[in-house]
Amino acid sequence: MQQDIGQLLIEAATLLVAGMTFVFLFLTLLIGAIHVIAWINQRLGAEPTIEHAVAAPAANPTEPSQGVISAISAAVHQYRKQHR
Amino acid sequence: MEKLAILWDSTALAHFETGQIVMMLVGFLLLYLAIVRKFEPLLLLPIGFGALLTNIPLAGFSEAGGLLYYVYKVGIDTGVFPLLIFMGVGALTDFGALIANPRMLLLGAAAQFGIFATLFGAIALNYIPGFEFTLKDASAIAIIGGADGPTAIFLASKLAPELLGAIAVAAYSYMALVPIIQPPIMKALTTQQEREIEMLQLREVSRREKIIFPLAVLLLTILFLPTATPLVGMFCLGNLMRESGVVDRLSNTAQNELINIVTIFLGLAVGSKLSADKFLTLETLGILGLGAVAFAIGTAAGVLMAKLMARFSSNPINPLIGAAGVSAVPMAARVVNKVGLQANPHNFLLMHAMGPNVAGVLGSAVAAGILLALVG
Repeated sequence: MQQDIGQLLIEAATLLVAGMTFVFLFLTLLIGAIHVIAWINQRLGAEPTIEHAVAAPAANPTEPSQGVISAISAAVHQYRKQHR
Repeated sequence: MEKLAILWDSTALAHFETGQIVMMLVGFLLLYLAIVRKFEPLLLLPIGFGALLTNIPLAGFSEAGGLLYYVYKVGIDTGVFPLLIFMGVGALTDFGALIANPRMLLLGAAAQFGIFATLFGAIALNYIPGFEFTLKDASAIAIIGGADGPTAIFLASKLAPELLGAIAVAAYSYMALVPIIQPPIMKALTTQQEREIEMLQLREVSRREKIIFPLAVLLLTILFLPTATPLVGMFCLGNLMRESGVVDRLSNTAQNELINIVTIFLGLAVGSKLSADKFLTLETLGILGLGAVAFAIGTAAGVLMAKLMARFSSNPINPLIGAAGVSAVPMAARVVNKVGLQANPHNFLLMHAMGPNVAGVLGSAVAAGILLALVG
């Protein structure tokens, strides 16, 4: 029995070393992968970041742009002022 | 008189066994922890109630034909429930902080030392008479140190189904206790100056990087650790649904309705494993003890790794963030933030701690894959 446990302990120690080595290797590889992704991303040039992506729908041709809306509201405002 | 005897015989009172009463009290204790102390209520409430239901004499909830029997068979025996939850967690996770500072993955790796050290400890417990943990049992217990409920349940259902109740209860209880277990260890291993260190602002991460990231993780897992692909694959699917931005409906379902529905049944099914013959054993005590040790070692390993990295890094690293390497998202990151603020009221570490925190999720999934490959 005692010998069995000794055997198991050796196996557990092997698992400890092998497991930790693998976890570190795998995640180190992933660090490399993230760097590669970042590098490719830079090479592909400026891409709309998430903030821009959210703002993008405003450029939809069927909808008036922010500038047009503000110009129109300014005009309406002025018109109402003059024709009171 | 005979009718009275039959009537008496059909009440639960005539059939209660001591074990069942004790387990019902355990169920009530879990309900108390969930409702009054707010310990992981989303899980401990259904688990506690499941424990009540399964110990009702004559009702047969957990025998063939009973509700909990089927819920367990369908959801946990097959591994489906923890995997669906993992998909939801993927849809809830923002990898931005990790992509901005990928070295944080090393902290997530270091914290997994808690898992493997506990595996060793579980086997060593066999020297005490009464404990007979096999390597499979020990692996399933050790994964508690991953501080990740679905991973623990998934691995336990594969390696040691008879210990699943105790393992799940230990995992979720200790996740709730993170704010109590971690700070003393973090403070013991760091100096006041170290805790005050402020870190540089993280760079902005583009949408393209966030979309490619889950695919890259999946590719690496496919190539090097196929046994981890059930966990990592579902996780990456959820994350891709979130980041792609084209399936918001699916992403919302995965992170809300689906994860909630599955959580109800997962809790009940885990509770159904809390029967007296499986839970009222010396092994359960061992599992509860080992779980706490696993958490403590994981936290310490993360902090020590962060100190080591700080020594070789050109940018300042606050060693506290290493403690977030033991997944338990987002509780561990919040604890780091809190301890950091105590040392320096202007130091907000939350975003920096989210990096190692989500790295810890990946790390424990990888560790689970390794255990499945080597022990399963």
